[in-house]
Amino acid sequence: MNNLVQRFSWILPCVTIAITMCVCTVGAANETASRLDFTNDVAPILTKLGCNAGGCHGKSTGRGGFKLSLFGFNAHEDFDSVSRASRGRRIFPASPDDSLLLKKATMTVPHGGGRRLDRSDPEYRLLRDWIAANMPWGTGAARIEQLQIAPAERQMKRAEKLQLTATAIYSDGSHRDVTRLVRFSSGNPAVAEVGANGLVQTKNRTGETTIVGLYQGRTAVSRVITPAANATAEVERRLAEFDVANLIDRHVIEKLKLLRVPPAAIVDDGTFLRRSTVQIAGRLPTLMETQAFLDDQSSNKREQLIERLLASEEYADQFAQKWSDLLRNKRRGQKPRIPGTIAFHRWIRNAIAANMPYDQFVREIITATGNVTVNPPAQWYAEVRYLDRYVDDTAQVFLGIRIGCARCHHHPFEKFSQDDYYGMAAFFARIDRKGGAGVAERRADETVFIKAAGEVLHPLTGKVVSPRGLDGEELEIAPYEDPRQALVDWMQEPDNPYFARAFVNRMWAHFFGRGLVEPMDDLRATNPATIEPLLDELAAEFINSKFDMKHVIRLICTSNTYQLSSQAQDEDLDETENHSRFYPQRMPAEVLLDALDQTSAVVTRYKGLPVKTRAIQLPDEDYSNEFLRLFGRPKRESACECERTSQPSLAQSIFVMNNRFILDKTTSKDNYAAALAADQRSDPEKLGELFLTAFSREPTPLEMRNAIEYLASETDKRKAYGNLLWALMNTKEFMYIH
Amino acid sequence: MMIVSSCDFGNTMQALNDTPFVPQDRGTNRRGFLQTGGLGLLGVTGSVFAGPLNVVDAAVKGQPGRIKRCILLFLLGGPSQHSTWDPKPDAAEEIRGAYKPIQTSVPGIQISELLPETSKLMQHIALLRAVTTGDHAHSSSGYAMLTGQPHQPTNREGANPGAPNDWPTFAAVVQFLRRQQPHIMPPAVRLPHHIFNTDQSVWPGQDSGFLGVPADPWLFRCEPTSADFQVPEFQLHRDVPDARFGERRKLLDHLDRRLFEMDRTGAFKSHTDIAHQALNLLGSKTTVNACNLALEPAASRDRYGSHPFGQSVLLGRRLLEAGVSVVQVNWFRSPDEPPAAPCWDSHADETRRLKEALVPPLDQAYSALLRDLIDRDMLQDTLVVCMGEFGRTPKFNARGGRDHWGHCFSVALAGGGVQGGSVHGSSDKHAAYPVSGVVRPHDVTATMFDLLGHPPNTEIHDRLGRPLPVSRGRVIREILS
Repeated sequence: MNNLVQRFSWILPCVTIAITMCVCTVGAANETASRLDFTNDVAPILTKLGCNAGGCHGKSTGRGGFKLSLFGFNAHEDFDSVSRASRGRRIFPASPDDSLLLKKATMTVPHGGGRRLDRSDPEYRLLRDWIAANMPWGTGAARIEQLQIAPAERQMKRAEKLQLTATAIYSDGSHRDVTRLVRFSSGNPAVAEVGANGLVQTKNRTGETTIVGLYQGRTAVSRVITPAANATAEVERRLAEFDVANLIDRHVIEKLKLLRVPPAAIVDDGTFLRRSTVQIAGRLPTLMETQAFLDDQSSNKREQLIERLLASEEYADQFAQKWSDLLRNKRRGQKPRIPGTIAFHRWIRNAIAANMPYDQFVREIITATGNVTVNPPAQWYAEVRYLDRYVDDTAQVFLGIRIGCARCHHHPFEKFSQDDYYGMAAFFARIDRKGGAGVAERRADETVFIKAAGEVLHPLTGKVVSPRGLDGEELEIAPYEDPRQALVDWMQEPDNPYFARAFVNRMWAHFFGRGLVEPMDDLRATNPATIEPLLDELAAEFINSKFDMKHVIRLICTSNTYQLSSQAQDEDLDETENHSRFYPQRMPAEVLLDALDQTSAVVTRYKGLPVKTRAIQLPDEDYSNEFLRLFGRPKRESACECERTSQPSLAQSIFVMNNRFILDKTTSKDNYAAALAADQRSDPEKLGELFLTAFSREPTPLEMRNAIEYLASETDKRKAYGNLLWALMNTKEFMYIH
Repeated sequence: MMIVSSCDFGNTMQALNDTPFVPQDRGTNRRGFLQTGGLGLLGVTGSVFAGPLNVVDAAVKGQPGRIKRCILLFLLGGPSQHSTWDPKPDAAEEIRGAYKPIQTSVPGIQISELLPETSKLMQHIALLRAVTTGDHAHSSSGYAMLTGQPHQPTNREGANPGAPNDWPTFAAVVQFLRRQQPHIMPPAVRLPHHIFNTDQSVWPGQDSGFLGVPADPWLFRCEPTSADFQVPEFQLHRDVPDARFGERRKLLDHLDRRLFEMDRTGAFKSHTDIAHQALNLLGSKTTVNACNLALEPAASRDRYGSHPFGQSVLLGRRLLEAGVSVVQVNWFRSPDEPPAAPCWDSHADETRRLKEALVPPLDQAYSALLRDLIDRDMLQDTLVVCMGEFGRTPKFNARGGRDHWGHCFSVALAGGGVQGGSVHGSSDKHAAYPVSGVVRPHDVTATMFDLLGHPPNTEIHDRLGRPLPVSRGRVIREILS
């Protein structure tokens, strides 16, 4: 009820708009009622009122015996439900006002969904006229082809209003103003909100947001930008003086100029060393590396550092772990599967170390056959089973699309339908398995092979669906051929809008803490990148480099954008999307544990693995460790990076502060604190080293003085250094990449 | 050493609280905007799906519940409905069993004679006698009872957590919805161990599932009956006594200021708040005392019984008093259980097990809990739920036991919001199938959530951002006051 009042409360103040609407959309009611069309006139109202939403009659089983297609994707079915089903009980042409449809919607009779409509609403009149005209299906000639929202882009001041107009364009060339019937939503309500009528209102904040409109399965987007209010000369100077190192900087500074938000300063050497080492190699820099880097006087030492890190073994460890997560390298507690998970992890690691071109990397995984011990990528098929999983994982990991919705119904915010979904599924129709040991669902050591033939049936029509990439042609695959090769061919066509973009966006998110498209694996028209041309050019660069993964990382890490400080200034406190500064991220669980090990010099042991194995090197999801679990190591249950969480929790804090596992690292007899206590050097020297080790920087004079005073107050030096170590490891400066 | 007083720290916190919250890390970002129905894709998700349900995002709006807290007593193994809440004196002996019904304090309601103390408190208890899962396997039926979602597939013995069976457990949803409530104690705690199968594998439906690790209810692995019992999580470690912890805390207060400038963006706000809560919690007498059963008078400890269940329930009551919203006490697994009939899983020799090991401890602890809550004026805002994963077969088997039965069993609710002395639903003459008032697991969770102020249509989101109601069930108004 409240919703409804809210939804229509704008009618009174916005009389002008309301009148416009009446003329444009509901105006149809004034024409001869017989010209009403179910698809174009009636169904949109059912969507606007929420009748066909997932919680109500749009549920796959309907509600209260009345079933509509979700968000009105199937007009024929809905027409039938409204006008014919249950012997036409929902309509009463002889006395339209007594139709159950209207009585329910107006709550004249009890309605679980509440009151959706008032008798004075134009929608009510239209529905009544349609019933009175004996429920015409309409000519069916004009079908909506496109939705447009104007303006498509607009720079606005703070606290300003803008009325959007939505126009539906039909197959017969006609168009109609549908503003009133579109569902609008704002991508970032902190920047601008949008009312149900398409009235945008900016807030008191610098930034940008998309306004998405949804109408009859079509979507359209408008971008609203609110630049900073008053750019001072200092801001202009900093924007003008920003040094462009490569294409990334060029696009970022362009966007910042648009927003009039100045870039932060370039970060100091120690912080840059720590940031890039943690992100490329998944570990803290060693004391020696830090000292050498700080002492290095060469002008291109940062570029050299990136090259060194990319060539290191640890680079392979770091990204092998990332791909092992996404490719769900998982044993599920089954011992016989260990050789498979270890082989697959090693295969990924070798591929990363050898910088195998990404297109080849993906092809070997998606088209894997055989037995894991012979062909390790077959492990992906050992874990990812069943038709829907193949499609969902392939789409999410390699194309950055969450297509799962379309398995059961038309994707609510995308053009993808069940036809698209099962077209993708058809590529996997010939997969079969044999052999293997064990009775579990996932047998160890089984062999994946391609059958001579195999097909996928559409769940609704029951017809065979031909393999087809999204927006691609239907393909005919000869018997005994592997359709998956055709799938990978389609994915890797240079104009595929997903494949390269998904990868570079994933890498961007790895380094910058958020994707250009965020969530990073949800590329779609209604969720555009913050800097769309940058994503385009980066993807093109990746394709031109023949899918060189290191090339993308090199571009990112040698850009000045990557080298910006994470310190916020007054001008950009609100700025959280356009990279005017580096956004701090909590270290991933494994990296953090390795960092604690490295700093305290007390190593963590993992069952069945050599002593010096680091957490980042763990091959599969096993090796239970409470620290890793609490800090968000994923169980590899999904193909979403979001499974790895960096949310803080009370349990984490308590664990780091008080658990034996961590306390031992600060109190054990042979840890770094003990070594420092026994060291004969002066306290200032030792403290300098302690800070360099933990933070890759020297202590500030104040920190030094305080620490010296503290040490002087303690008789037990080992305990004192242990306390210092504990405190350092519990700081945000330690736990965050900043 | 520059000593930063705790009061100074407090000011810092205050300053931080004033800054707008702009989540930075990936995880927070996602959640942040899920709550406000905000940024990007998921904003669309929220608003489009939200549609007509009038969905309440309780994380933001949270409404006062009729009750403040809930304690869930989980009778692991599946108690016999015949010998607890739904006696069938008129059935043949191989069905009714050896135990007779007794009159309770409410005329017309009879329960098993094994529950004499409980029977005196019937005016506070509402019985659901036609609960059904239709699932006869411990782990899958247990998943259904604890999450309100059927396990896929049903009747799966030895099931383990993981998609698609990764719906968050009741306590986890509360932990998640109440994560921002300023309180020193965590919102949800489980005692004294996980529910696990005989092969040590754990059941699905006990933790946060798709809500992510931070929503995991705390698990106190403890032996509350042992002499040197303690809850290690909340107790400062022996190696780091109070004084040393104080020193450390001061050092940390000082050292952790370097990123203060960055804090202005709110990037670390949740981290800082939580770290602060952790420091307070570890240094707090409230928590230490809540977990210290030695502070409980001996007479009181005796009233709950010297068995692990009694002491766990007692610990649960202390935690509720200290501010925990949901405590789940799992029936204990002890080493001396008969392998053929562990816990309440009385496949053999049930008559003896019921009398010697199972019902009297339950009767003792349950009645002591209710009486304590009454004495402390807490019962009207505390919900006490007593359930197992299913019931037991009407007929005894050849070993004198009863086997798994998910078709019909009983659940007892007591306390806040509940119409005491009421019975909803009835079973047939053998307590085999429901006759009227069928209740499904999601109806039970819907009722529990609703009483706590989280209506069943409160939204949570899975990893793809799809909005889901905390329960798809119906609030059982028939037993609410």
